[in-house]
Amino acid sequence: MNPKTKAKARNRGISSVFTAVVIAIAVAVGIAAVAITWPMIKSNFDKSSWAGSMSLYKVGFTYTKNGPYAYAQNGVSAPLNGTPGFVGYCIAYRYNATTAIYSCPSNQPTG
Amino acid sequence: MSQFLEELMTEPIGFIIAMVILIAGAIGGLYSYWTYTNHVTLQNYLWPIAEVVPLKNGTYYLGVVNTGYEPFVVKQVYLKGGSILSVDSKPLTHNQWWFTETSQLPIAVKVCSAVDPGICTVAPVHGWAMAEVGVPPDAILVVVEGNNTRGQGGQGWLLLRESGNCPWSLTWYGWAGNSISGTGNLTFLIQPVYGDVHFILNNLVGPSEASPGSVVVFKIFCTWW
Repeated sequence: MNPKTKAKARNRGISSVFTAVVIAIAVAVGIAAVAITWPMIKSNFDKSSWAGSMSLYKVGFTYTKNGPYAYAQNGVSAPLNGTPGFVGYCIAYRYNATTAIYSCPSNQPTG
Repeated sequence: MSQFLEELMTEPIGFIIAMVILIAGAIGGLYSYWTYTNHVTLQNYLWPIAEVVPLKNGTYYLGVVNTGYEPFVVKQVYLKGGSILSVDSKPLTHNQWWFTETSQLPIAVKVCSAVDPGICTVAPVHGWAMAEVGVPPDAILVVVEGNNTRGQGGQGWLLLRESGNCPWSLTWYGWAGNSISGTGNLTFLIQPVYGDVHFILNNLVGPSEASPGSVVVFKIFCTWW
């Protein structure tokens, strides 16, 4: 076999290996990209779910033998005092004898 | 030059160089992408909630709570007037609050990850609303020991309790709750003026509740055993 034919055959061999390696790298990169992307996708779902639950988060008020109480959705309750206090993820206080002022995640933003 | 390139492309050394470039590019690209997704993921798990209520003195009470599990610090408070309040809270973990008072209405807060301070998010501040707490029951209470009027209660949600027979004690709860005790014969009258008033019958005989328009009289004869 003359040297030119030999070189052509060798080049074809290298091209095949090159193609195989490129495909292997592409597959590996694809798998790695999916593995890397998954936590971000999950975090997007989690954030949407959290935002949805927060948009429904409210506080209620009742009267007990110890005075007025504020209670949040997750079973948290606290006495309603004349100064702001935390009730779950809300802030509430007794403004006067019959009125409470509160702020909760379900309230509209101030801005 | 072109011959050099051709040899480089076709010879094994060219193949090795191409592989190195390709793998380095792939690793570099993946690392950049991983850095980006890490940033976005951490940012997505910053879950601050900011609330504000107005105070009677004209200021605002701002509270920020970490509703997630990724710790963060509160860095800035954006006020309605356009000014920015720089703060540096301690790292807030799950369900921990940070609060402050501001003279202007806060509209947003900027929090940054306590793990990677370069990752921040801005959360809107939720406004306030008013709610009817409910008017507590109110009643007029007159306590008579022997021939003397001992006390007068009222204004509040009333619960009565008489513990022991002699000496007796009487307690009522509400915003003007009080307690009295004595050793004489006891008579007390309750006249609800608003709402149903409930009684805790402890050593007492009588109704468990009364409504406005009625008068309930309890009598206890103090006898020493």
